[in-house]
Amino acid sequence: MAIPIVFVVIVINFTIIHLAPGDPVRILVSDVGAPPEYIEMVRREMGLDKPIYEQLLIYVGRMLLGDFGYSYTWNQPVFSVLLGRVGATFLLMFTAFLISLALGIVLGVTSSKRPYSLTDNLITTSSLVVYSMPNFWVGMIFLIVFCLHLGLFPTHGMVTVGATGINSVLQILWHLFLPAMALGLSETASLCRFTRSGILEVLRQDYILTARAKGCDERTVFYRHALRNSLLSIVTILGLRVRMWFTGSVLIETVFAWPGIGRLLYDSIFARDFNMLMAIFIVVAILTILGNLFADVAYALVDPRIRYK
Amino acid sequence: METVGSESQERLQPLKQLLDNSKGFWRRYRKNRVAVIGLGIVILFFFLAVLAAQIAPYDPFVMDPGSRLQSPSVSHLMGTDLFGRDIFSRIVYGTRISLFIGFVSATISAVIGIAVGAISGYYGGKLDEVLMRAVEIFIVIPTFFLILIIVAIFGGSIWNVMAIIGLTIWPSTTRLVRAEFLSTKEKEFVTAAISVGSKDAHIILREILPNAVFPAIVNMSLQVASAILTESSLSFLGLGDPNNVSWGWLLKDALRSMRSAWWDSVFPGIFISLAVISFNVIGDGLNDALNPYLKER
Amino acid sequence: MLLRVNGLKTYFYTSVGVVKAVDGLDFDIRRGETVGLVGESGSGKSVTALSILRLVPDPPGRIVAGQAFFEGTDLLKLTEEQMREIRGGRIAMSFQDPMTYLNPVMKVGDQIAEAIMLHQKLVKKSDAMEKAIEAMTTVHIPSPSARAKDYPHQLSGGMRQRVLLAIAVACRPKLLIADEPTTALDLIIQNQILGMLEEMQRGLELSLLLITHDLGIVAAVSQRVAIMYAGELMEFGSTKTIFTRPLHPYTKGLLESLPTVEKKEAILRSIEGTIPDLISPPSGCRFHPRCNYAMTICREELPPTEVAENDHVVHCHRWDELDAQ
Repeated sequence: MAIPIVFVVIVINFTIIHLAPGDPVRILVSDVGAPPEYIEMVRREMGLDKPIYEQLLIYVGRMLLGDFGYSYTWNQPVFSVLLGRVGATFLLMFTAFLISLALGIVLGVTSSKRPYSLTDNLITTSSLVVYSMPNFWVGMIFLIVFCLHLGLFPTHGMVTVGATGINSVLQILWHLFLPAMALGLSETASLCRFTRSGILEVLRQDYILTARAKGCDERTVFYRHALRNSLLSIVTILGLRVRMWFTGSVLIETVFAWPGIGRLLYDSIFARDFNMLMAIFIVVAILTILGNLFADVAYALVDPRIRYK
Repeated sequence: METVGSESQERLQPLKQLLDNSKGFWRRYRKNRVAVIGLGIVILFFFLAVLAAQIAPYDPFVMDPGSRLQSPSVSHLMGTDLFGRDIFSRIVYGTRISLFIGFVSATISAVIGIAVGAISGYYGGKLDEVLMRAVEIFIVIPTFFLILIIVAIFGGSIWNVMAIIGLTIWPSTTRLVRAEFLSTKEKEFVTAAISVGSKDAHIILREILPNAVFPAIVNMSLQVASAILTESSLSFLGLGDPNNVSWGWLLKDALRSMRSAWWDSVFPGIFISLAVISFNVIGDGLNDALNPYLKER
Repeated sequence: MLLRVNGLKTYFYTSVGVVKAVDGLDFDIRRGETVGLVGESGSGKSVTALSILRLVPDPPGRIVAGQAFFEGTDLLKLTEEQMREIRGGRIAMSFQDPMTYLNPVMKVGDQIAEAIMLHQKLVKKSDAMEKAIEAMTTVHIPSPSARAKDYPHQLSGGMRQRVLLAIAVACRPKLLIADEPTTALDLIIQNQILGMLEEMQRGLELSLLLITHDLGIVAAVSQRVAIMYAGELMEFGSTKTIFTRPLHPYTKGLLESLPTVEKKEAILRSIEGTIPDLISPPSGCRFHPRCNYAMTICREELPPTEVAENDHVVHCHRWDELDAQ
C-alpha cells in the first residue's frame, strides 16, 4: 500500500505542475538565480515538448531517483539541500514527540483513573483548550514571554555561533527547548484525550469483569489489564498523528527560525521556489508513510493477535 | 412479529422524532453547559461579523503612522500594529473572513463527503473499493502540504483556500456516512422499498439519508474548527488573502512586531482559539443531543 | 446450606428511569448440589449472579435490599477487601462468551496463574504456573503446558470456555457460578463441558449455580431449578418435580414450548407477548399480562410465597387451583 501512495503523490505533483497557469518550466525551475541555459536544459530533460504521458514517465522516474533538480539559491542539488535540513527537523520532532508521549500518556492515565472527577475535568478541559490553540501561536506566546520578556531562551536558530564540543551540545539543547515544547504541547493534548478514551473504552470490556471476578484489586485491573490493552489503541493513534508532526514542524520552525525542512518551506514560499516546495512535499509524504509503517510494525509487536496468527 | 409497516415507521423515527421533538433536542443540548457557552460564543462572533462596520471603531485598513505600536488603551482596545492600524477593528473584520472560510470549507466538505459516503455505502462493490482507496490516500498523505503547494501556486484568494480545504477534508465525513449506509442498507424497509420498485435515488435520498446524516452533522462542526485552524496556518505562512484579512493573517503580521508589541500576537490568537474551542464543544453538544438518534441502531 | 439469598433487590438507576432488574429474589444452594437458574434474557439471572459477587457496576446499578448468606456470612455486608478474597477464591464465576471474557493480550496460563497467586499466597510464579497447569488438566485441556503459553485467540471456542472454567476452579472454590457456560458452543462441546462440570462437582465437592435459558441443560445436570421472570422468582423446586409437574403457568408455558418428538402439533407453541419493561413493570404478578390464567388479583397483588410438598416454592395466586385441574 505504501508504494502506490508514493506514486500517487508524484502524479499529483505532476498534475499540479501542468495545471498551473503559465509555463510548466517555471515551476520546475523557480530559482531567481537560475541561468537561461539551465532553464533550457530542464525543458529538454523533462521532455516538456513531448507528449504528456512521456513527460509523466520521465517525471516519475526522476522523482523516484531523488533528482529534484538543482537549486541556484543554495548552490546545491535540491536533494542535498533537503538532506542537510532533515536532521534539524528530526531533532525537533523527536524531542517534541518524546515530551508529548511522556506527558500525554501520564495525563491521560491520570484522568482516566477517576473519570469525571475534578482532576479529570481539569485535565480534559485543558487538553481541549490546548488542542484548539494554533500551535504556532503557542510558539509565539512562548517566544514573547520566555525569550523577549524574561530573556531565558534564545529567540531563534539552532546553534550559537562559535560554541564547540559539549558546549555546542548544550547550546543546541538550550535552543531546542522552547520550540520542542511548543510543538509537543498540542500533540500532548491530543494524546491525552485519546489515551483517556482508549482506557475508558477498555474498562468497559468483558475481560475486565473476569479480572474483578477473580478477585483482582482495582489497581491490578487498571494497570495490568486495562492499560496493557489500551496500549494498542495508543499505538494506533500515534500512527495516525504522524502527519500532524510534520505540519506542526513547519509552523514551529517558522516561528523560531529553526533550520529544518519547515523553515525551508517557509522561505521557499516567500521566494516562490515552487520546485523546492514540491520536492519537500514528496519527501515529507515519503517520511510520513515510513512513519505510518513504523507504527504498524510497533502495533504488530504489541498485539499478540497479529504476532501469533 | 413486526410488520413491514411498523418498520417503515422505524426508518423515519429518528428524523421525525427530531423534527417533532425539537424541544427535546434543545433540552438535551442544553444539558451540556459547555456546549451552550460554545454556541453563545459562536453567535457572538456571528454578530461581530455581520455588524463589523458598526462595531469596529476604526477602518481596519487605514494606516496611521502616528499611532504605531501602541499598547492597549482606551482609544485602541487591543493596541495598534506596526502600521498604526487598530488591532481590535482588524480582529472584528477578521471574524467575517475566518468564520466564512471555516463554514464554507466545512460545507463543501460535508456535501462531497455525504455524497461520496452515500454512493460508496449504498452501491458497494468495486465502486466502494475504489472510493475507499481514494479516501485512504487522503488519510495518509500530509494534506496540509498539498494545500500549501496548491495555494502557493494558484493563489491564496479566499475562494481558492475554501475550495482546497473543502476538497481535502471530506474523507472523514465519507467514512461516517458510509458506515451508516452499510448498516442501514440491510434493514427490511430498504429491501421492501426495492421490491416495490423504488428508484435508487429515492431510496438513498428519502429512505436512508435522513437518518444517516446525523454523524455528518456532528462532524461538520468539528470540521469548521479544523478549517479555521488550517486557514490560520496558511495565512500565517503568507498564503492568505491580503484583501480579506483573517485572524491568521494578523498573526503573520504580528511576527514582525513580536519584540515590541505583544498585543499584536496575543489577541488574534485568543480569538482563533475561542472559535476553535467553541466549534469543538458544539460538536460534542450536538453529539450528545443527537445521541438517541445516533445510538438508535 | 452453602448459600442463602433472601429478598435480593438490584436496581439500575439510568437516565430513562430505574430498572428493577431483580426485585425480591429468594433461593438457596446446598453443599455439593447443582441449582439451575432459568429464565429468558432480561429475566435478571445474570444480574443475580453479579449481585452475589457484588460485581454489579455502580453506577448505575445498586443492590438496594436483601441478604446473601454464604456459609453464614452476609456477603452484602462485607467490605470490598473481604469480598475480593471471596471472589475467585471461595466463590468463582465463569462467563458466557469466552472470547470477550479473556484478556486478549495475556497468555491463558498467566490468566489462570493470576487467580492462583491472588488466593493461594504463593509467591513464586513457577509454583502458580504448576497449579495453573493442574487446573487446565482438570478441565481436560490437552497438552496443558503447551496451551498455557497460548493467547486466547489461538484457542478454539470450547478450549476458551475451559480456560474460563479453569480460572474459576483453580482455587478450589466452594461455589461456582457458571453463566451460560455452553451457549456460545456447539452441541458436542456443550455435552463435553456439561460432563466436565459434573465431574468437577464430584471431584472438588463443588456447588454449582448454573445460569441458563436452556431447559434441556438444566434437566440434565441440576438437582433443583429456580425459574425467574422479569426479575422475580416464579418457581423453585427439584428438577424432577418442576419438569413433571410444574406449578407455575410460566413454567408450564416454557415446557410446552419445547419441541419434543411426542408432540404432534405442527406449530410450535410459544408464550404470547414479550418481556415487560423493567422500569415500569406490570403491577402485581409481573407475568400476569401474558398469563392465560390471570385474574384480577394477579394484577393487583404480588403473589405470596407458597410452598407445596417437598419444599417446592411457587409464586402464583392460583397454583393450587391450576394444579388440581
